[in-house]
Amino acid sequence: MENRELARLLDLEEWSPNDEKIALNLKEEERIYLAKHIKKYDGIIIDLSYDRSTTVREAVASNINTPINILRRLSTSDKCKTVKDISNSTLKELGK
Amino acid sequence: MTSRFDKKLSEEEFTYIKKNLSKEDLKEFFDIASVAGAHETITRGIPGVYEGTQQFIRDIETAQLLQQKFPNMPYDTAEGFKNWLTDRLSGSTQAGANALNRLQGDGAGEVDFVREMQGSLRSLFIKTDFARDAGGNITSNYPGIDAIEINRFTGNVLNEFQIKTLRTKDSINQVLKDFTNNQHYDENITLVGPKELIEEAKRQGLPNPVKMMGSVEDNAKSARELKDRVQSGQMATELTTKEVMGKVAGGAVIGAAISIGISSLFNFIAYTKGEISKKEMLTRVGKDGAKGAITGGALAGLSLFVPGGIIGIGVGFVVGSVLRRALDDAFGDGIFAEVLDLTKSVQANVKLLHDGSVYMAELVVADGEQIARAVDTVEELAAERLDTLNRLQNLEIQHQSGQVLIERNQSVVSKLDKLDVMRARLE
Repeated sequence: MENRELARLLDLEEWSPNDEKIALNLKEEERIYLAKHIKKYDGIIIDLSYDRSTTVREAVASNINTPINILRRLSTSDKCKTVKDISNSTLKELGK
Repeated sequence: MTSRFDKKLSEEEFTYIKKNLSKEDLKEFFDIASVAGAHETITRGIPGVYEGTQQFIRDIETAQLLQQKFPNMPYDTAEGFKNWLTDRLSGSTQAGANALNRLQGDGAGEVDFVREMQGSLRSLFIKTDFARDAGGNITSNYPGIDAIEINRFTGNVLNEFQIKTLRTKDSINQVLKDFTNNQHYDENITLVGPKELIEEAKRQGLPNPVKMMGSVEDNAKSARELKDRVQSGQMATELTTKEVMGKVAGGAVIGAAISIGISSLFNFIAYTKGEISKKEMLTRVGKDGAKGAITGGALAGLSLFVPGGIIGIGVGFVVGSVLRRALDDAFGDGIFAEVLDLTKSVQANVKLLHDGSVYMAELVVADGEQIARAVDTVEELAAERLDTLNRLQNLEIQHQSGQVLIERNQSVVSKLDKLDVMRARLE
């Protein structure tokens, strides 16, 4: 996967099912980057919030564009304490 | 003097079987009896048992396929699946629509296609499977194709398929555009999709072979039902435990055990002698098998055999005691074991799982002798015996009049293809 593709996904407004497949097949470090910086599409943020990689979920938890209900779920029921802590910090930052 | 319903056949009957059948014929008989019985059982169904099992297994296969394609997603538990879908549906319109697309398009639609292909008689020789990468993994981004058809014996790829399970007519043109404007596009790839898509593809003059599967509304309905099952936490994603999941890989789901009895053998003899047509023989043998099918709780604990070509179709086989004895008496004690070896059969030990809703068979590869010792035999019905003896007498009369017509100039695959076409017409 070239960084160009990652950049395209980050700018994408209308995500097709195929775009989601491309994103979910990215390498872990690329999914982390995407989870940290994505702004325009909640569908892929939701998917990444369930990622098996703790680091990817930490990135979702740190993203202020992550939907509030997802941050709340991560802050209460994620199995990793770090993910919970980061979600709580982000919620605080957002005044929630 | 022995009565007509004694468990033993008469001396003349043994002589008749021995005189008219070779070991090769017996192999062909068991192949035909198992395929015809399985076909009848699968296409006609066994009310209340087989269909329920099929739905349950379809859910599991869908969840497993999605999990393999998207290994970082939580599709391996009903709860994880439910939470994910609930989150997606509570998000943007696009997030919800794409989630349903994944359920139906990447999951159930492809499972349905492969199951449909595996349910045809051709599947005795041709295996349909999901496209896999070089490591044997099913991935969501395999370029250009979703499923392949391979010759079970040579391993050659016969067909490649791209499966489109759109849920609305609005997207037809975009789907066709995406299909052809793809760097991996090839005119030989078979496009599989709902009738509306296939009709439009033909109208536009698409050169690819096509295969129709359901309608847009069927896909929409399937997606709705899947959504409801996932959201209610009812989506089956596994067979109770991880340990059982391991058994699925080395086992098979069994919906019914089909009994191969003496009556079927005489129908087969009648066919080889030209007394009945191939179609009639297949119909009779199929109905014999389905009539004696064992389902439900009676399956638990049975030891079955499954001919190598049809492992995975969801049925196993037992033999009638009269047939078995007749074969042993006519050919010697080891004949059944030899036939099991010739048909590359495996042993299938049925176990009850998931609170009795599913019957799994642990498949054991063993030599014919071991399988022959383990396989259960069932008593043929008195009515079947009477029917058989009547047919035998008719056969003898007709044989003496010299009416012998054996039609064996076609390949088995072409015969089965024709049967599939016939079945499709009837449906």
